[in-house]
Amino acid sequence: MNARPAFPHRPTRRLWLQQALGLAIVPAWAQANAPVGDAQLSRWIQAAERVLRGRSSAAVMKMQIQRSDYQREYDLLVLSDDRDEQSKVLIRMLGPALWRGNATLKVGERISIYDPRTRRVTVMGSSMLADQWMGSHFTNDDLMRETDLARHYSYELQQRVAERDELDRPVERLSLQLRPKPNAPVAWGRVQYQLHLRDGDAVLPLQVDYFRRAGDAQAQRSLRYSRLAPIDGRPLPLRLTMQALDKPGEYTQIDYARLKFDNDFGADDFSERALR
Amino acid sequence: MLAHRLALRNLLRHRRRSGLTVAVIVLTMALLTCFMGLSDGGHRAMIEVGVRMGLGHLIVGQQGYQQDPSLSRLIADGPQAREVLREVAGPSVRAVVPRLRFSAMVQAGPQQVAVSVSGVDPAHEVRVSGIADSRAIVEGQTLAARLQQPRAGALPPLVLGQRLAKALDVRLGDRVTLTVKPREGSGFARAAFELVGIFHTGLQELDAFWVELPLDAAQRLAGVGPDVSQLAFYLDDERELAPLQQRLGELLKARGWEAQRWMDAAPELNSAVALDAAGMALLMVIVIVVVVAGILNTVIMSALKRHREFGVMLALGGSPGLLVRVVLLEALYLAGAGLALGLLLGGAAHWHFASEGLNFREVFGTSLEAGGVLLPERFYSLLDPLKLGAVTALVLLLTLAVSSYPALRCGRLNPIQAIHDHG
Repeated sequence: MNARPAFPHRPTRRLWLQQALGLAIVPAWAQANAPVGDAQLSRWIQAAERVLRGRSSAAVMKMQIQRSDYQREYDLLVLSDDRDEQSKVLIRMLGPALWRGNATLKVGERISIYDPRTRRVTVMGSSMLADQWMGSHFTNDDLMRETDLARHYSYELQQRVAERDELDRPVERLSLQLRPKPNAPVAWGRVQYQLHLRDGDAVLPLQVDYFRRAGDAQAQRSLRYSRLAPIDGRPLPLRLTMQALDKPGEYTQIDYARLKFDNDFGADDFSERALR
Repeated sequence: MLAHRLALRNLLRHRRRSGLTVAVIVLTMALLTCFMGLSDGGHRAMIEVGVRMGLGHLIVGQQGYQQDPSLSRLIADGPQAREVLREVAGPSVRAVVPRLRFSAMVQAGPQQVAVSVSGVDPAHEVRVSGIADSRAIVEGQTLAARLQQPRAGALPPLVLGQRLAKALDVRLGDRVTLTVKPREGSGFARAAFELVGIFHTGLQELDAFWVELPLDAAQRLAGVGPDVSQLAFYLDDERELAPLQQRLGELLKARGWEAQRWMDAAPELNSAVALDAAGMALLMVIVIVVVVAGILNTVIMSALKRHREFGVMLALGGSPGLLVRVVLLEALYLAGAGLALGLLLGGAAHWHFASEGLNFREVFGTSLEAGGVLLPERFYSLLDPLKLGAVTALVLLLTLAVSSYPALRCGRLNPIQAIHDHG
């Protein structure tokens, strides 16, 4: 479980060359009917999944939780570092005051939680995984394996249409169907992934629908990316909305207030000591 | 002989009174017999159900496992340990089944629930466990049935309870995942399974928080090799428990294992049975008091009414001893006839409930739960002849004891006074 290669299906050199040439020479409209290999699809999804994390990132975001019985809002500082084999994430709550200082740290597969009131670090056990993260529609489990869409599924490109994105740029909307590989440890029957492809290689995620069973017509969860705005000179979706479709009106929305890539974090920034 | 004849004649002379008394005794005795059978039968059913629902009569685990049931306290090499235990245990054991237990998170789509996982060997389990019983499976099939028809490329099978299925919103054939902290390392292990069966046991904790899967799949998921959490013994006769424990004692000590009896593993169930038995004992005391009081009343009434008659008998040369014997014999005949008829009637009822069983749902309109165990809908009467005989003897003895007071008073009558007073 620990190994998380950057490219799970490393394309053969020839394929890679073909793609490089293809992308360089063949115009976008001509590619529409050309078969696209699994490796390429996997790379696109991988790229889309990482678009807000880069190799390392620091972000300040506002998380807004809308439930039928309550509403909440948190300000979060999220640091991520994927430069090593073990990916690291540190989430620290900046507000509201009641929650300030609470932190969740994930190094590899290990998740620990710090509560400043008791000054204790708890390492998460398997039973706690089931909890929703701070009452949001993201679970601790989502937190733990956010990139396995690229690893545990097989892909099928279903649709490829030209359209314009929020910034009115010409893009291709790709609709991919992801089905779990035979023995993959995933609990979804099907995932529908939509992404925008610009100039043949710049990928932005658009919407991810999670279906309970392969044959279901209605998704149970839907994650939408919106509000494109330039970060480091490159437009990125700064709003994530996770909708629980089985509970109408419930959602969790994340808005990035600041985002900075390629920070040089030290190893200590992601230690349990750093939680305190 | 004269005393017997007199006693019988006296009883028959007052048919209505004697008949009423006998009827009271017959009725109470019949009910007592019937209740005793049903209560004992119910207790046996409760124990049977409790033991079948995954406890076992005797559960062998690594020392300290009961206090800290974690993956770090396992019995090494399950198959070998099972062989050794079987050999020492002897033939009174119906089955020894290996199990691996741990807590995990089960997930299906967005729904996730923390559950207890039990890795079982379906082939062994099918003879002893309630969950492996196809009658408990309300949808789909048992693990054993599924493993008999392997399909290439299919996910390993898994069964779970009805309430859990509802909470997870899953159907047969759905993909569910289990996430656990394996024995080694700080990360998590996760694997996908196919839901092949949904069971209903009536036990809340099983129906809502219990997942069963094949032992090898569980061992792979938890990364524990061939190790198991426990080896559960099932007996044909619960009374074999103490001797079995004795036989195993030495081996357990040598291996650093410890054994737990079902009474300790399920104390609620044990105390429920004990409480119910105590209630039954109280009922028996009340019934006996009623029976004996009825007899006493009849004997005193008849003795008082016949002072003149007794006086004449004494005056004619009858000995006081004869009077005492006549009064005592009357009481004994009453009690004897009543008890015999009552036992006959109660025995018939017992025979009916022992062969047909009592359907609780029909009688009470709802199912009964005791000590966290849902009683089976139908259970069968069970009579212990020794217990019944003891009760009967006790009633007879008490009858004699309480009748001796009016009898002795009759013996001490002054004939002239007696004839005079009751002219």
